Amino acid sequence: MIWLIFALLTGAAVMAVLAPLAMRGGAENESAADVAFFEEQIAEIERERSEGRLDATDAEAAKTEAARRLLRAEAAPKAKVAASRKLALAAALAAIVAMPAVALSLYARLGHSDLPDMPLTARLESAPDGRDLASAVARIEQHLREHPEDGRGFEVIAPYLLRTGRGEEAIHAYSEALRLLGATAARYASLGEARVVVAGGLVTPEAKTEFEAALALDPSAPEAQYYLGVAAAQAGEKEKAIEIFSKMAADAPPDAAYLKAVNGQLAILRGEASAPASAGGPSSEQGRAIAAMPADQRQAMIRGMVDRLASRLEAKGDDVEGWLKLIRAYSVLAETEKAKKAVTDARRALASKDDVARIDALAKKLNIGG
Amino acid sequence: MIVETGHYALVLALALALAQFAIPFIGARLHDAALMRVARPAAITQFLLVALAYGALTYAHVVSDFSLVNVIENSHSLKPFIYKISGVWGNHEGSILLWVLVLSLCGALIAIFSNAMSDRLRADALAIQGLLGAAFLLFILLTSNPFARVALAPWEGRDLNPILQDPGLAIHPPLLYLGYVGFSIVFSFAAAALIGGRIDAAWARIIRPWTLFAWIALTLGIAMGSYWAYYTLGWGGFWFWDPVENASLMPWIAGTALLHSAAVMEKREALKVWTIFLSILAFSLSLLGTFLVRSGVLTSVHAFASDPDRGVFILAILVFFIGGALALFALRAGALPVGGVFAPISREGALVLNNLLLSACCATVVVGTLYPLALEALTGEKISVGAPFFNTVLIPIALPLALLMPIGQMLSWKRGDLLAALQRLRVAFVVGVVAAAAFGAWYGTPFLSIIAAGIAIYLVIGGLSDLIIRARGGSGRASFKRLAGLPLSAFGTSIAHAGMGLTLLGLAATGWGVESIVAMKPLSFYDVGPYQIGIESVSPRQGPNYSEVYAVMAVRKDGATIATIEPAKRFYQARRMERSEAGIITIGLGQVYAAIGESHEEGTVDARLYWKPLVTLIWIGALIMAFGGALSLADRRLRIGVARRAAAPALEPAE
Repeated sequence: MIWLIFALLTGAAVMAVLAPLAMRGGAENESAADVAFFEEQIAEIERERSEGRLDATDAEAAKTEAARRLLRAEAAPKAKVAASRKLALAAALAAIVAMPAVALSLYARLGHSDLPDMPLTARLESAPDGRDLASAVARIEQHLREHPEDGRGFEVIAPYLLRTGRGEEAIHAYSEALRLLGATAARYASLGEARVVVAGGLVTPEAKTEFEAALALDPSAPEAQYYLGVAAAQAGEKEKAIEIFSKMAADAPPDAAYLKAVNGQLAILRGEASAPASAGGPSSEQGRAIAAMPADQRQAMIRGMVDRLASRLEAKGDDVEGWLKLIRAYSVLAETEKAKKAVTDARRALASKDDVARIDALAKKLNIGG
Repeated sequence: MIVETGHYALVLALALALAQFAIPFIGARLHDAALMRVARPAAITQFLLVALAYGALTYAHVVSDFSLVNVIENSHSLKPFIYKISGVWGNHEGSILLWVLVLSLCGALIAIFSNAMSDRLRADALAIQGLLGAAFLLFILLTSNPFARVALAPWEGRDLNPILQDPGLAIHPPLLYLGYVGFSIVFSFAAAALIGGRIDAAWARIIRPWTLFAWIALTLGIAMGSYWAYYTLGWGGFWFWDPVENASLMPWIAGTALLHSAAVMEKREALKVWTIFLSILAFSLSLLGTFLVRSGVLTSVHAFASDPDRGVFILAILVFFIGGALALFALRAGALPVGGVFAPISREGALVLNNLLLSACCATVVVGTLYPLALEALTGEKISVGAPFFNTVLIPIALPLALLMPIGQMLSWKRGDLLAALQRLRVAFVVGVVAAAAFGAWYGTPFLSIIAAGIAIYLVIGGLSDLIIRARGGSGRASFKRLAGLPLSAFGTSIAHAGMGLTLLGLAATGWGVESIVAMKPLSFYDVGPYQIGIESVSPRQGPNYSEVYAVMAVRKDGATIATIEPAKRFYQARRMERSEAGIITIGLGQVYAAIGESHEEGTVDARLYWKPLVTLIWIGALIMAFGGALSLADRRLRIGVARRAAAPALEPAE
């Protein structure tokens, strides 16, 4: 089918060349256009003279000049314009052979006649269920666009959004789930957690409200307690934080997954352990909060911070420390392409040669080309 | 299937472009009518094929076909419909395809509207147009193929760069390209005339409408681009002397010069060599601009050196066409017969002076754009040549040029009377001086703004007074009748010059603008010029593919709220990029402009607030200039194909 279309197109293009070659005659006088032009020009000079914009002598001179050119155009040797059948035949043959040859050989190199169109909606409809997570998510998103009242959909998709760094959308999904399916402690806590992740580990007043709402529904909700503890620690209320975490540790069943994180927090607050340095080099307070998090959340949070650093540098580039930090962070995250790009961008953004030299030195050390 | 059909159509267009070059070109050399006749249908069909390819790419973007690399990299399934369409040209591959689409459209336009010229000139011009098309089609297919596919299509794309997701950008590039590439028509005619060896007044009349057409599109394109930069980049500027902007300004200046010199050539057959040179120059500068923007040389000289494929290819095209045309020019220019003579004080003389000054402007922009690049390539040193350089050099050239514009209009062809011309302008002089004094009294310093505003008003009045003087005399009715009888091109000149005056006034008024960068506390008001601005609320909002924080700001004057604006800061998820959306309200001819930055916990918001008096005149002036150009283009005598024998003299008195 597709080759039939190609053949038709090729035929049309070749015909565009053949048709005029096949026509007979039509040899035109080459100077006709010029003659008409000068005749009009003379008329125009006459008009300007009558308007008084050109005085009589000048008009006369201009008219003589134009008339001379008119005569010259009329007298110009009528170039012989012929139409040789032999020549036309040769051109036609060349077009018939060369045009399809050029088009087909080039298309054979570049084209993918075997690949069909793949519009997104058609793919979503035909994709087999559950084959891969990404397609499932894409399908749910599509579904939610059409049925924005489906709270279950929002609830299912929200954790995935949060994990893939689409924090704002995750917050939206969690709050839609909460609104449509009704309030539970777990939903409030998840919403709060998403806000914390988006805020880069900071328990914002907004997030705090969500956790408090969760506790109001279920005083034992562990995530809510945990984050309120973190909030207290971040606000500098060490005693209160220790109190919350100790109570959690005491109440927790011995096999609770969150016990390790809680004990970690306690150790830090009591000064028994220092927070491990993380890639982006966040402030110590934040670093501790991040270190205490489950691995996937930590990753998402670090990524969020790195992205914010990147966009800040994009807006305001003369900050060599920031660039060094960004390049190191990408290198730790094993995002070589982005690291390379950051090196190039930094070179461009930094004015001083010394700063550029520092960037180059780091790039060399980390073995990043660019 | 649609996608691959588009891809094949593009390849086929290349084959046809080669035929469009070779067959008519040989035909013109051998004086063979049949071979020359191939040019017109070939040009039209080539356009249809490229349009088919372009349509297929647009379709792929609209239905989010993520099997195309181009769609993956520049689209997102949630992107609003209009940006799915404008996203097609919001990236390298698509924009080059648009370039070629416009190029083939120009070829088709020549083919359709070229009855009034010799077969040979038309065949040669279309052959050159075909060769240009072939070069750029090859460039697309070999280095920037928008139809590159992947077998395993992802489920989501990376979205279009947020700063390009804006209605202004939806219209700006097509207009700009119509302008850039429109000059290719003039270029092709210049090359064709040089090859054919016949250059006369008739040739000048043929290229003038095309020059006007390209100039109008470029004027609108530049104005649109500058307005877009003004309200999306969020720092209140409308022109940054950025190389990308300069790339569009260079052909505009050259095109403006060409417009004027072609007028001289048409009327007096003088300035032939110069007009041909400008025809080549205008398009060469368009090509240079394309090279600068598209090769990556601007992003970084290093980036260009590490991935040189595209850059080297465009450079080769550039060298081939500009070099070829200039070589032809060098060979043939000496043999051109000299045209009509004229006194230094005459319309011709004034236009020569205009051309000299415009050339100086153009050279300044070229140097200011290329010098930093050359320096970086040679020594690695980075310098930035910006507003201080351009303002220092261009203002002393541009202001005298503005002073001369109405004088040139008043001089008659061949031999003019300077004193009489100045006398006719005395009203404009007086009004200009009075206006300067009034502006000075109202807004105060800087002096440059006062002087420039005075010249601007003089330019507006002077530009229009040509019409009035030509119509004046006798009774009111007779004057009106005479005014109505003036050719449209006379209206075009006057209106375009007046538009230039308005733009100049808008530019002059930037000196009186007020800027204030403040951390705005809620419910307190800040002075910006004659107005006070305060934040009423700051809240988040969800857009289709972005989330934003927007502030509702009240604009007050004398305690009464006269308007509210909503500047916003948007965050685009897919690219993880931020973009500001300025809040703008037009009051009179000026604008209050606000852009917000970070918001802090205690409710304060960093904001930039501006009061820009008369700023809209910059773009209104450009629109009026373009309108003047359109009037000239509509003039029957300029319209393509009018130079027919019988009709011309008979209709003349009716005008």
